[in-house]
Amino acid sequence: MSVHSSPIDKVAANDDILTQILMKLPVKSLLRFKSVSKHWLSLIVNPHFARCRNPNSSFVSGLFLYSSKRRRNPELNFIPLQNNENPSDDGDDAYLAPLTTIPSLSGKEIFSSCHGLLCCSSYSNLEGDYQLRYHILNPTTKQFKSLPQPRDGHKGLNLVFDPSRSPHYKVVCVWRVDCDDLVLSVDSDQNKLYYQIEIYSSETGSWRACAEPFTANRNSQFHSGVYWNGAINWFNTFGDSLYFNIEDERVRTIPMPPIPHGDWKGRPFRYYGESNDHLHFVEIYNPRIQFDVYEIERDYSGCFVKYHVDLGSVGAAFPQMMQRLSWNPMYYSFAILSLVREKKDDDSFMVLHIPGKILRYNLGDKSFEKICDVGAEHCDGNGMIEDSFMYFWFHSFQYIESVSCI
Amino acid sequence: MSSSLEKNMLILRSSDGEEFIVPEVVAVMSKAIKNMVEDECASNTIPVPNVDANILAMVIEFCKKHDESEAEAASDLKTFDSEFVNRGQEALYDLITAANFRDVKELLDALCQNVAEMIKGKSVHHIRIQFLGYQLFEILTSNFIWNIWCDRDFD
Repeated sequence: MSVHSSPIDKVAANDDILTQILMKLPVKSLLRFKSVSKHWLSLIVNPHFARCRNPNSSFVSGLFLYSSKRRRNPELNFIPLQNNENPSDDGDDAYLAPLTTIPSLSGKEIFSSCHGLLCCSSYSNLEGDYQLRYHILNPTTKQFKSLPQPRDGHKGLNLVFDPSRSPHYKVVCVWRVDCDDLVLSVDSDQNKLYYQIEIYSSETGSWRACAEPFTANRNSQFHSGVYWNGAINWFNTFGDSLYFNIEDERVRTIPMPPIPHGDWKGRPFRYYGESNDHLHFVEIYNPRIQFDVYEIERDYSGCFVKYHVDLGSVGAAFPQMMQRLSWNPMYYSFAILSLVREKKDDDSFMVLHIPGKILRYNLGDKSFEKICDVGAEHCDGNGMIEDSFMYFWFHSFQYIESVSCI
Repeated sequence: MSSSLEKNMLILRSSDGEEFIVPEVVAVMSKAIKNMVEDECASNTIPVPNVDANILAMVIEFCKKHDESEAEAASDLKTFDSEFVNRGQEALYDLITAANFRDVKELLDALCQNVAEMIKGKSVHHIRIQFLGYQLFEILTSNFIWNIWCDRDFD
């Protein structure tokens, strides 16, 4: 730098100021400016930068949605939420549908979303042999990375990423242990099976087996785990719901409310998910439009009712919601696509899908508004809404903007 | 205590020796000055090295407005901010350095936002000339290939 440096040189030479300026740029510019110089690149890809730019790594700016597989051509859609407050909103939402723009991931399917990163699978043709491959994707930066193949016959992959704790991500994979491989302790319970966990770490770039095998119900599912509170949480319709603590690598049981008396074989989950460091779930035991949103205590000592919801007002405004689904009369025609907790509790909201529409239902003042129209309404011969109910909550993945590198 | 403080005045002396009499509440919008005042290591006259009279006057104008308009509508302040930061390059970057050095957060935020607005649509090429002082010669030689590579998807 020369002795008489110009004002702009002083700014350009000051990392603090430069970072402040970069922090205020929309994502699109930011990604372009990575190639200005090695210095700028180092500022932008610094994990600290990603964390400061989006300190609240739970700001949901949209939802990725798969239309139901009951439809002939399931497709991936994107629905923006609250993008007015988003600093990245430069009036150009082209980057909001980035998944379709990555050609090498054709046939891909998202199955997990965690603080801005997505875990997805796709079929790759390797020497004539179609193989399911797994990828981590940052839809904001359009970066993706393919994971080394996990063990064959696994029961599901679950993504762990929390930029406020670590710039690295992990993937938790559970597989069933063949009983012949184990010197079994005397466990006569025929409903229990042995499982083992493997973890991939982006820090090491490899899989490693972890901890001892554990037993769980035969019907336990180990995909669709939700990362919250330093653990992957699995909600099970049958048998115990479980969580796997990433730190001590132990599997424990999530305390759930008792199943009500009656002929219930399992838990009819209608939603579960994390938002702003809270873990919620909804069970609806009868065809009802009133339900409770439960939240799990941070120390796993129990769970409590966070919200009582009554969708009566929504049903009155949109009578099509009050129809039962033809293929399951247990369901009124609504789905909770997402529950978003905001810093101010009164600003928290649910994203609801009713035939032909996506709604925002505010949990504070219980008001609701239409976000957008989807599909055309169509009734079958019995007057049942068939075609316009497109999405289910488990087809919905939060989009959180992140410049984190993968 | 705060009501008596409001009557207190401080003198800020710029790097070129000019003195400004400023209410303390305005001066302490600079965190650096606030720390000095709180640590009681400041006499009534506080030197502001590295910031000349011209820039210091602007910083004070900004702080005064922000102090007065606490009760005013936020939109008015926003209008003021956007007009305030709309300056020539020299003054703009001098102000940024001053705001950063004296730790005046609101001013730094407004200025950085302004720079971000100015550069967000620019090409990599342009940014290099502006911020890295690249000369035409360098761009045409050593960085030629790199430039084509980087700018290839610029739209």
